[in-house]
Order: sequence, then structure tokens, then C-alpha cells
Amino acid sequence: MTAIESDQPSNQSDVERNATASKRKRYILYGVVALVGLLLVWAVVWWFSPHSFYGTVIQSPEPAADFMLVTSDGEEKSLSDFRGKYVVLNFGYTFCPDVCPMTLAEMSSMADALGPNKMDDVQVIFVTLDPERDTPEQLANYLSYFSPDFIGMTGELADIDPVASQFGVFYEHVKQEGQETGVFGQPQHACGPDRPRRLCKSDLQFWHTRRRHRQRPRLHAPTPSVLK
Amino acid sequence: MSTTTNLDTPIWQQETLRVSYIWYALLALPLVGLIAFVIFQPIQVLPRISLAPGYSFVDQDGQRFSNEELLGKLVIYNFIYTRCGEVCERSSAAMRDMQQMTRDVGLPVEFVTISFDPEHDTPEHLRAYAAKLDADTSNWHFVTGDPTRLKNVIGNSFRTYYQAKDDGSFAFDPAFVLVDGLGVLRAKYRTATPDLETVHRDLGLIVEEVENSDGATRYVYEAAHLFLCFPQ
Repeated sequence: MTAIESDQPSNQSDVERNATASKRKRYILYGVVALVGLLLVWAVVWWFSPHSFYGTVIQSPEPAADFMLVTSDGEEKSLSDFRGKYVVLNFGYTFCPDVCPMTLAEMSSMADALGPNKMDDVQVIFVTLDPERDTPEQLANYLSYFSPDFIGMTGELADIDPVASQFGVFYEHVKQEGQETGVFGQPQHACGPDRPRRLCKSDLQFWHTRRRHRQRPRLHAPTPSVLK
Repeated sequence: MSTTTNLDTPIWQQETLRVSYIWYALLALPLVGLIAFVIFQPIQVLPRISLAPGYSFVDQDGQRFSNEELLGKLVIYNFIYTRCGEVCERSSAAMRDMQQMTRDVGLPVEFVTISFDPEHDTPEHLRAYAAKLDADTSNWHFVTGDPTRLKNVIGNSFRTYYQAKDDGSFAFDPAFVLVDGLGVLRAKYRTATPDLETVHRDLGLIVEEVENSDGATRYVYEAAHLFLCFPQ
């Protein structure tokens, strides 16, 4: 139909129709350009939007030094066995009265917030700083209160110390009246071996959680006081 | 332009397309801006190299001294042993110069000297060493600790080589390390006598970044990190 009509350009109404058609085309073009522009802006914002503070991104970091410890299942596993997953390392000990259970409870609420699908890509590992008392069985028992998917790790203190140290965790065994009463230190989380791009680049950064969930789990280092 | 000429004017001269050029130009602006940012590097940042290690050592007063006490502060580390000769002297003198410099310009910086010779460098020896240097220990700490943990901290994390020799002396690489308030290693100077100007500049860059990394400007600083706008 239209083909036949446009064969006769001398017709006045056809010229008008052509004009409206080209106008429409122009609007479509504007629409497409605006859409592409919006997408581009969104992409730029998405790409650069910093992590609303979950830690510090370390650009092109060195990979975490590998380590091998005994898991709560009694097997020996190394960090590299979890390659391809985001690894959240949490340092603590099971006799710890307050901070460790609180942090682990936060971890399990994080697991709830992320949901089982995303948690497939995440492995929470609780590394004990008190290996003498925290046997694999003790760890398994303790972690079962928080999540069946969390893994505990223990081993010789000489093997644990470099792990804690490299992630900036300090600890000290406190003895009272010759008896070990506790471990003094700061629990911290660390995000382990590399995943594509920038997703998993720092000790504390937990990327997924920030946009999808209003109730954000706190994965936070002790807040440093601002300089000056 | 009248619509009747649509059919015989070349396509790039038609009004529709000419208007769309403006749109394309608008679209290109952010890209051009981005490229300009990368090339001209309007702001510079210090790279975030890696996490600084965690430790719990003993200071010259015999008190526990851990990395946590330094969170939120800029820290400069150096590594020595007190029985060593000229290299450590120069290293410690450089540390003292830096302390003086930061005080003069009003930068809040902590200084930590880690001794890797815990067998000899007891807190008493460290205190004596500090006194000999005439060091102001209010923000300069002399620490040491368990040998294996020292090796983990200095060797594995700060990546600084030292090795005990048979005669009780050490072979080592003198180095200074700059750690920021988040516990991230920001600079390493592999020399016993770092350039004060460079250290001053680097400290200033971190302070500037911390002060300006609020709200929208944080995006700019993150972009600077992403595009490796590091000082030469």
C-alpha cells in the first residue's frame, strides 16, 4: 500500500505524510540515542560507584598467599581449593564470649540476605586463633549453630599465624593463673581468592550485598578516625 | 530545509542527522572527559598495594603493641636491629628526620621501628637505643616480638628481607613502609635514606584523599585508583 502511494510524489498529501514519517523517524532516533545515553550513564555510574563502605578496594592486588589447614570435617584443605568462590575469612575462637558469636550471627544473617543462590558462590570460613582448644569437632559443633555451610579451620598455631597476619589480624593468647583464658584480638573478614574483575579485591569488601538488600549486613573493619 | 529536497540531498546533510550529530557529540563528552582524566590525571593517588600485616609485639616500655592501635593513623615503619652498624644508623636518622618533618608541617604520623633481633633487642635495649637516638617516643615506637611472627610480618607481609648470620649480625634490605589509616600498605621505599620530599608528597596525597573522599568526590578518587593515577 504505502509503496504504491509513495510512487506518486507529486501528490501534496503524500509529501505531508513523508514529512510526518521523517519526523517520526527522527523521534525514534532521539529515543534510541537518549536510551543509549542513559544506558551509558548508568553503566558509568554502576562501574565507578564505590562500595558504600564495606572496605577498601585494592586495585590489581597480589593474590592472597595460599595456606592449608584442617577443616571442621577433619580434612586438610587449602585456600586455593575454594578458588572460584568469594571467601569470607573470619578469625576468632569458639570460647570467645561475645564478639565471635556476634560476628558469626552477622555472617549467617548475611547468608540469609543473599539467599541460597548467591551463597553458592560464597564460602564463609571461620579460622580459629585458639587451635589448642578448638578441635575440628568443637568447630563443627560450634558452627552448626550458625549455618551448616560455614567451614571451620584449625591447625598448628605456626600455620595459622601467617594467615592471620597477612590479613591484618592481630591476636594474643592471654593467660591467667597459668590457665589459658582467652584470645585477645580483633575478628576480621577477608575476601579471598580472585574472582573476575573487581568483585573480590579487598579484605572486607562485600560487593553483592550492597545494592540488593536494604538490611545490609555489617561487614566492617574498625572505623578509622579521620585524619586531622 | 524543505522536505522536498530530502530525496536528493546527501544523507549526511539532512536535518535529522545533523541534529543527531549534536546528540552524538553530547554522548561523546563523557568519553572525552574520561580520556582526558586518564591522560592529564587531574588528581593523583598513592596506590593501594596490599594489606598491612596484623601483629602483636612488645614496645620499648614492655607494653603490648599491636597494629590495631595504629588504625586510623598514618604509619611509617622501618626495620633494624640495634647492634647493627652504619646502615641502621642512617635508617634511624632518616626516621628521625621524617619525624621532624611531619611535626614541622603538622602531619599526624606514627613511627614504628621493628627490630628483627628479639634475642638481643629486649625492651631495655630498645629503650636504650631510643635514648641514644634522642628519639621522641610519643609517636615513635620501638617494637619486637616472637621470631617466627616477626618473620611473618616483616618477611611475608612487608616483603622485606632479613637473615641472621652466624656471628649474630644480620643481612637485610633497609626499607621504609608507609601504611594508611585503613591498614593498607601505600608505599615502600627500598633504601636506608628515603627522599624526604617524596615522603612528604606521599603523606600529603593520602591526607588529601582522606579529606576529600566524601560523597561525590569519592567517585573521582576511586576513578583515580582505577586509572592508576599514581605519582611518578
